[in-house]
Amino acid sequence: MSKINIYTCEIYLLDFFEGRLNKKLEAELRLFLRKHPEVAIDLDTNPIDFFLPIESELFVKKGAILKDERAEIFTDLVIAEMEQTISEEEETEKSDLIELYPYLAQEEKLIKQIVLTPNMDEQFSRKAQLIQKTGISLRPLFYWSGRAASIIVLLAVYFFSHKRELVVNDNGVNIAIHKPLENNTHVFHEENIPMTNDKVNSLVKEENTSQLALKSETKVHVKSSLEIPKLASLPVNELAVRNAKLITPEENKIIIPDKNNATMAMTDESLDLLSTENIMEKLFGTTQTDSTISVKKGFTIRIGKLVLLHFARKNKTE
Amino acid sequence: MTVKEYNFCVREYSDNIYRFVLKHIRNEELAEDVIQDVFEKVWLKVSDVSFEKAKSYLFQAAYNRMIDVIRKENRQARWKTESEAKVVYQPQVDAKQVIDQALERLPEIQQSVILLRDYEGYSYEEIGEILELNESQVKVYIFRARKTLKQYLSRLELIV
Repeated sequence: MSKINIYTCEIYLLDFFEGRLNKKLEAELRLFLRKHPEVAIDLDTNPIDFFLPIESELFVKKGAILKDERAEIFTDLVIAEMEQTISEEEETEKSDLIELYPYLAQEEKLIKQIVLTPNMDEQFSRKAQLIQKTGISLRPLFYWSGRAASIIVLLAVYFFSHKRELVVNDNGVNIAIHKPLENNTHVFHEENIPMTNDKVNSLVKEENTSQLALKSETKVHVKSSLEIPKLASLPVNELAVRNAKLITPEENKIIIPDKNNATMAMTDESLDLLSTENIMEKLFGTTQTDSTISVKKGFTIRIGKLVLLHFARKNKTE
Repeated sequence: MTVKEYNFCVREYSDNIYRFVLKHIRNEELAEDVIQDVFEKVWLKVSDVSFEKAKSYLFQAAYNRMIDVIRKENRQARWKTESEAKVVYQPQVDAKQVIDQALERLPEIQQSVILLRDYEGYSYEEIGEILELNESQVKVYIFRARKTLKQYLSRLELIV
């Protein structure tokens, strides 16, 4: 759709006379004026002019085009001056141009008007909403407490989802080993056991029982105290106790699970109150005493060793 | 930047940034939303922003946000026929108003450079930092913008 209508044709006419109109618009203007010759008459323009061939019109407007070209250079010089990037040579050129064409002084005035000035009445009305209170800000507090809570939850998940297997090295130092929790396996609790393997072995030597020989590195496991009675049928050398609840942190106090899975607490001395058979029966589900018993190194060995020591002591006194 | 410095930025710069954004968006409510959004985002990382560079940082953030909004609102149409006609029917005598109208017709980037130059008095280098342009580009855009404005103004003067 053409931009030229009865309201806008005046602008296009002016552009045409100044040689600013491109060929397409000029053709549109001619077409429009041919259709509406009365408009051209109103504007003191001879409509016949517009029926002349375009080429002849263009020749006439060449002078105007040259004039604009010169003004273009002048505009650049004035803008450079405004932007403070004008060189001395350019400044001289600008002055020469004004001297040569006085109308450019007016042009300069016009260009220098083109500086944007802010309207100070335009103000941001929501400032109050953005002002932050000084002092302790609650927002960072929330962020940090949230972060701390997340870390605690992650740590808790990590610790509860990993079992800790306790190993006592030869110096009696407890070492906790973390392993991922397997399905329905028992969690070992860290215990503080005062006696080391060496100490137990030396006690065994002192007791001088030829019937007992401890092999501390052998791995034999009992899954839980519930299984102890079931193990009665197994050979003794395949037995050991793995239930962490067997030993409490108190020194010289041993808890041995009974057949009904109840716990029975006793001190080292109180072991004497039970018969060897009773202890063996309760612990290993057997009273067989002349086999070599192999147990795992670590706190589980303590049960075996202590019981065996007791057993050896009993044997000796008997 | 401390809370006190942040509040200083709100009091001292929010109006300037608002005017800058308003000139592009031409919608007071949208412009206010942009400013609020920018300041709220700056507040979230207030400790990472240095007070010395806060003003240009805010202008940069506002410019980027404004471009997003303009794209979203599909307000990129330039040289609208309606506004052209409006100018013809109501000849403007006040040069300031005319320039303001002409500004609307400039491409987005030219509007930004000339506003930062004239409103805020930023150097080419600073404008380049804010708009992520090099100095030569800034210079070219400023020249083009002024020439376009001048052409518009002189055309109107002829009409009036």
